[in-house]
Parts: sequence; C-alpha cells; structure tokens
Amino acid sequence: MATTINEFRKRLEDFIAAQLQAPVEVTNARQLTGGASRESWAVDINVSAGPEAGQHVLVLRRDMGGVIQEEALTREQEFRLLEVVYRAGVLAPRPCWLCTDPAVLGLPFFLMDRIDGESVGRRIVREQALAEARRRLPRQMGEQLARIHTIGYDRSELQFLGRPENDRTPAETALDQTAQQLWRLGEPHPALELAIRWLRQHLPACPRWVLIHGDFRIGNLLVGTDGLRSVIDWEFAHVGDPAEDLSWPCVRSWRFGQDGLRLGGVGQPDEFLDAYNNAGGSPVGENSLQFWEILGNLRWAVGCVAQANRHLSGQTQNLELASLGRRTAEMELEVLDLIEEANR
Amino acid sequence: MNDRPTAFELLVAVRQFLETELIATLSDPRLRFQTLIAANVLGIAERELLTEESALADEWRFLCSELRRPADAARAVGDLKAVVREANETLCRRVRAGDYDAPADFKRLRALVRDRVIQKLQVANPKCIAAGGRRAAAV
Repeated sequence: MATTINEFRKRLEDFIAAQLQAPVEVTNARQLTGGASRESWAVDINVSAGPEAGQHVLVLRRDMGGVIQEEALTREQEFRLLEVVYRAGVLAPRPCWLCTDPAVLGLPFFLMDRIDGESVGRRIVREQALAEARRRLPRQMGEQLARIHTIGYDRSELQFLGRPENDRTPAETALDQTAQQLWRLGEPHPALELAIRWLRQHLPACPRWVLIHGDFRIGNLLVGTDGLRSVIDWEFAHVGDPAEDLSWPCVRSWRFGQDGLRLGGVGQPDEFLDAYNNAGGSPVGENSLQFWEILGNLRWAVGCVAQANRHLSGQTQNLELASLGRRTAEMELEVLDLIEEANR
Repeated sequence: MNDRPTAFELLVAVRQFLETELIATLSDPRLRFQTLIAANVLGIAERELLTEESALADEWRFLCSELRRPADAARAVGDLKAVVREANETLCRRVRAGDYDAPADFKRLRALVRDRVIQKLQVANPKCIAAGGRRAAAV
C-alpha cells in the first residue's frame, strides 16, 4: 500500500504537467491516516517553469478499491463540491485538479492545496499551544457552518447530493438508514434497538433543508494557533436538517476525553449556536438538537459495528477497523444516558 | 491442559513488548498509532479472558428473567455464548416490535440494558465508565 503512489510517480508527474503545461517533479509523497472510502497522500511538487513555477504542497485524495461506501461521495463528486464551497468563501482547501481516468493512478483522484494545521482531535483538545485556538473555535465553527448552510444545494453541479426521500423528514430518512444498516449487520445490540425506538417516537420536523457537511467535528477541522484554518473531509455531504451538523460536533466521542466541554472538547454549544445564528444560520429548536445528538451517537455506534464488519468479512483487513467494534459500547452508554436526560 | 504461559499471560507478554520495546523504535506516526491500537486491543482480550465466564452467566440470568425462560446455569462457556446471543436477538426483536414502548417498561429495560453495557465497557474501555460516572450518579 505504502508504495502505490511512488510506483505511479511518473504518471502523476505527467498528469500534473499536462494540467500546468510545465515540467513537474514530485519531490515527496507520504500516506496520511486513511478514511472510510478513500486514501489521502501528502504530495509535494516542484514546478520548474510557467506561472505556477515553484514548490506546491498538496493533498492527493484517491478512491479506494473494493466495495464503495453507500453514503460517501466519490472523489469526482467531492471535487465538484469543493469547487462550490471554496468559491462560496468557506474555509476549505482549494481544489486543484481532478483525474477520472483510471489509467493514471488506477482509480479516480484529485489534488487540493495542503493547509498547515492540526487535525488530530486528541491534540486539538489538549495542546498548550492551541489554547487560544480553542477559545476561538466555537465562534469560528458556528460562522463556518452558517456559511455552508446558506449555500444553495439545488444547483445543477450538485445534483448528486443525497437528499431525504419525498414527503419524509431528514430525521426520519436518517433514522431509517441507520436502523436498516444495523439490522443488515445482524449483530444484536439491545441498547441501540431502544435508541431507535425512542428516536422513532421523537422525530422532529425540519422547516428548511440545507447543504449539510455531514462530518463537521473536531478531527475534520484543521486548526492552527490562530484557530480554525480549514474544514476538510467533505465526503459525507448531503442535503438535510441543519440540526444534524449542529449536533454532530457535540457527540461525546468528538470531545476526545474533555467531557465537560460539550462542543468537541473545546467549548460550550451555546457560544457556537449563538455565532451560527448571528451569522445567518437556520433557526433550530432545542428538541431537534437533542434528537440529532442521540441519533449522532447511534450512527457512530452503528458505524463502529460496520467498520469492524469490514475487517471481519475480509473486505478490508485492518486492525484499526477491527478495534472500532469494541468502541460501540461507549456510544451505547451515551445514548441510554441522553435518553434518560431527555425523558426527565 | 496447556502448559504455561496461559493465553492471558501470553497476551500480557505481547502487549508489554509492544509498549516497552517496539513503540520506542517507531518514528512513523501511522505505525506508532497502529501499534498503540494493537496494545490496546490486547488489553481488551486480557480483560475478556479474566471475566468472560462470570459476565456471560450474569447476562444469561438477566435474559432468562426478561424473556421468562427457565435459567439453566450448568452450561459450558461455548454453549452459553450461543444461547446468550440468541436470547439477545430475541430481546432485540421484542424491542423492535414495540413490546417496550410503554414508558414504565422502557424505563425498566433501559436501566437493565445499561448494566449490560457497563459490563461490556469493563472489558472494552473501563476509563469510559469512570468518565461517564458524572451521569451514572444522577440516573
């Protein structure tokens, strides 16, 4: 795996050279920690002529072989979305070039600017050097989310985005998808069944659909000493309920051990929600936020069962995926306790 | 009967090798991370080996009581795993069918299922229980 891009180095150089009409040398390529449906590489290039002459630090994202995850965007779709959100002024990496020809690197890929910053959640919530950044993050996260949610999703270049089925709310659609996914996996989880039942009885209405990032949380944000630098990992974007994106960064797992700071281990939801509302975000009710936080925990629990299953089924043999199976119980505890709080 | 080290002791030996010898030699952050995960999952397997028998027996008693089945304690661990799984599947089907929708029934089962989740966490991630204690005390 670790040698794949290097084997293709010449072809990658030729591809970028053709885009820039200038000689290109790949000076460094190393694999970054992987994601669910794609692999990422840090790639440095040197362009020796033309208007783009000089060093460029980039990220290459490539589709992964095997079974494609049903709800994730392909690299081509992710690239198209990045073009839209970058143009709309969202703090997102500038997309550079897309290649859908599998002859080049085996599978479709794209390149985007590599932005300097910390993405590892455990470090963002702890490191001394990021104390000032943590102070700024709640407000910055609210403002970015408001900007994302005001991008019109009904444009021709975004028709691929998943959206709720006709006459059903985003909440109902998402709950059904999650329940079906759990039941297909065939592992008995009484705690998750109770959560599904409770959520079914507390479905919130959604006054306005918006463009949802789909994985907006600490861990998918690049953070520097000055705060939020970039929103990354757009592969789960879709059309849905703004409360989904507002609750997801509050899910306990994404506090990375800093449990008292309910917004991603860096702050409190109030400051984040105020910034979101002041920046023109969609009004969202307390019961919606509560519903989506519980559904978020349920989804991540089911996600862990699914990831472990990818390993167990032999589809992608990987220790990290296997280990996620045993994290499921953490979210089970959280959904049961959140339901108890909500019932009070 | 196998010779010592026991399976538990072997797992401890491998985990200690990873933690005290291997990790110090690794500079690639990805490999370090994977090795930390490896040490962590060995810890899970160790805790499971120590507690599995009594945890399964507890769970079986809970499920028999909930599903109104006669408890049959005299089962070997392998057999018990299969019946506990089957009983959990039955319980899941009942929740799905709405058998616990009445608030009082839901509340009672929620508390009992929470005990089982705590039991799983004692193996998978005991630290997570301590962190959740803030809530546990209030429930």
